[in-house]
Amino acid sequence: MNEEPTQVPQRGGDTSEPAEKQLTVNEAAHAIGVDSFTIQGLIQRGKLNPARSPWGEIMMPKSELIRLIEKGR
Amino acid sequence: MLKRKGQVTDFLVPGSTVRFTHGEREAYTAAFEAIQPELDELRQIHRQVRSFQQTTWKRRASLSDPIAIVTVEGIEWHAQALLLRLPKCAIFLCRHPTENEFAIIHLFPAESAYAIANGRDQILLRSANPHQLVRQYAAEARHTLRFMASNLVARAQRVAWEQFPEESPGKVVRAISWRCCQVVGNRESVMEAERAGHTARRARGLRV
Repeated sequence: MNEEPTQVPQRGGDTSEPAEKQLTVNEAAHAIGVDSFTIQGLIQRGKLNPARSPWGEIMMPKSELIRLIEKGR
Repeated sequence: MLKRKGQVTDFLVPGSTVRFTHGEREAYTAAFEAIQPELDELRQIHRQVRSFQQTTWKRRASLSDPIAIVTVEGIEWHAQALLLRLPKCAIFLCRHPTENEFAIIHLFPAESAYAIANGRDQILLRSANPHQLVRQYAAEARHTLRFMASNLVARAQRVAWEQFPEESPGKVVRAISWRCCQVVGNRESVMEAERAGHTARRARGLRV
């Protein structure tokens, strides 16, 4: 794997900023109109930088998807 | 009759010798159902990878007529074979129209947000040797599949530990991990997810 996912920062209730919305791989795939295999491929090629849930599941910050879509425009 | 903690172990995990009590079986079923559709998808992709990597891809002279034309950056590549049919996308082995060059090209759905922003076609790999090219792509695809399987184990782990903490979740996750490994044919990478989960449990003060 080219990109090592980073741990999702755990934010407490007293922080001023709410935690960023994170999507599962499936949700991220649905959001940009592709499939899970393609999302995982984009992660491996370094085009998407994922985070990880405390259980180790890959989570995609919504800002990453927006960046990917806007970068291409 | 086999028993554990006073409970009958009456459920045999499909394709294995692991036995569960009624409670463990419920945990296993819930965790497995959380990943089953994607595991089925993964199995189908794995079959396609196995199939195309067993084919001998020869040089230009012996390749058949193109099955489609794929235009990338103004070049009309000749699609020689569909390597992967994914739920939304497709991966083709293509030949350059005039030069001795081959490419693996990823086709995205034209109407998708990704394709609208980044283009419908993307070259993943290119080489003058189609056989080497396909082998290299097969290795990458297998790596992606292992990565996906590891992610499914992580999700199953969350379900087992959060919803069934009293029903031997570690054992349940090991059984699911084993089934995922059967699909992608690699134990080590899927085990990474279990290790990551173990770290998460330690951080939360949970005991296995």
